[in-house]
Amino acid sequence: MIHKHYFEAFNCRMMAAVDMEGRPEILDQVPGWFEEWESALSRFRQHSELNAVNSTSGQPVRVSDIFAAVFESALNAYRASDRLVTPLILNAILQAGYNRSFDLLNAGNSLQTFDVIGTALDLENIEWDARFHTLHTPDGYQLDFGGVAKGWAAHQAAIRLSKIAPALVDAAGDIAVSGPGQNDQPWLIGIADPDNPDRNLGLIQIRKGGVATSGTDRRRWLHNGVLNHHIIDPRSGLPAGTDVLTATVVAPSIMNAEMASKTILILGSEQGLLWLEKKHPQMAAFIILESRDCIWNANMNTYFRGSNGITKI
Amino acid sequence: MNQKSRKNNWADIKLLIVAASLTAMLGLWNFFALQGIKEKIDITPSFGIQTVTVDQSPSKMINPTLIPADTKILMGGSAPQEKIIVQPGSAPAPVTQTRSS
Repeated sequence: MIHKHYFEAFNCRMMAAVDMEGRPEILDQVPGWFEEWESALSRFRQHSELNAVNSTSGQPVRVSDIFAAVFESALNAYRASDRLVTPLILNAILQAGYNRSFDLLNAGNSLQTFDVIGTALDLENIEWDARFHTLHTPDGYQLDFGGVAKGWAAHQAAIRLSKIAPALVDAAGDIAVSGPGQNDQPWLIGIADPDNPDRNLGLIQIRKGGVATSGTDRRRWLHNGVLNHHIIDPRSGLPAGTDVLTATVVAPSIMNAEMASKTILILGSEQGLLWLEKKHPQMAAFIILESRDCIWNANMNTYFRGSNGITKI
Repeated sequence: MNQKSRKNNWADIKLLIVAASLTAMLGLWNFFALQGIKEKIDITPSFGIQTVTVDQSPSKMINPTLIPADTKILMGGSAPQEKIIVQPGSAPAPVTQTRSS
């Protein structure tokens, strides 16, 4: 039997689930875990460790174990995505007025169009000592872990819960799965219809790993007739010009899935699928285009539930 | 006188023949006419109860009509119970859904 626990964290709705007979008390502890991680990693918390590190830009600083783990996760995503998924985009976002949680903003008044910020900053310029957890960022470098932090938190929560029972943690649509459920059953996950999120376009079944979806269907706004969204292409400093509305990726971990889905979205459908085939051939991708056509790679067929898994929209 | 008497005798004979013929005809008529009538039910008289003889109720004539395809036909016994049929291949509800945030 699957027991679920819903809660708010990182300004999103989260859900933790375990598959076992009785409801375990550990489920009630999950929001506390996320609160601890969010207080360290969120730039929307004034006294967060992230804001403290950003305020000491140009000086070496020793960071916590949590911060170190997430920074390394961000570094891995940066390298695996050919530098397209980076935590160093804060200036572009702030320039656009995205200085509070999107849900708190009045999009029509607060957000402006993005301006090009010049050459993208290189994360490799940050001096990182993994042994002593010492971080030395050059002047002007500002970090924003964003989706990496949420994915890492969901991954950690799933690992902790899996000591009790098979677990799934949903971090606002990015999902970590610790392993198959009772009786070796896979977990069933719907792929949301971007035009009607209450409806699923199809079902996929996951035994272990992660699923993530990146999209321009949410957090988008019009400014002077130009459609803006929050996925920044670090090569230009502008919202990514892409034909992809949403990209869903199934990967060995939620952090890999989050990295790959965002990279595909930035590159566009054709280049994105080529990149995935070349760099991460084990991953599966399902893409909904702006035209509402759906395309996916061959790996995805192994995850679809049933032959009629997808309804064309 | 004798001639008149013989004439009256002959007339009486003819009248008798006609009467007998009519009687026979009516008797046979009634005999054959009753063949088609359903047999009557005799209710044995009981003390203090008047004897009543009634005809058997006539059978109802039911005109056949076309029954719509979705009409339930109950053949007696207990009414059929509603059943939920899970067709092979129908998907259960997912645990959650992936979406952009």
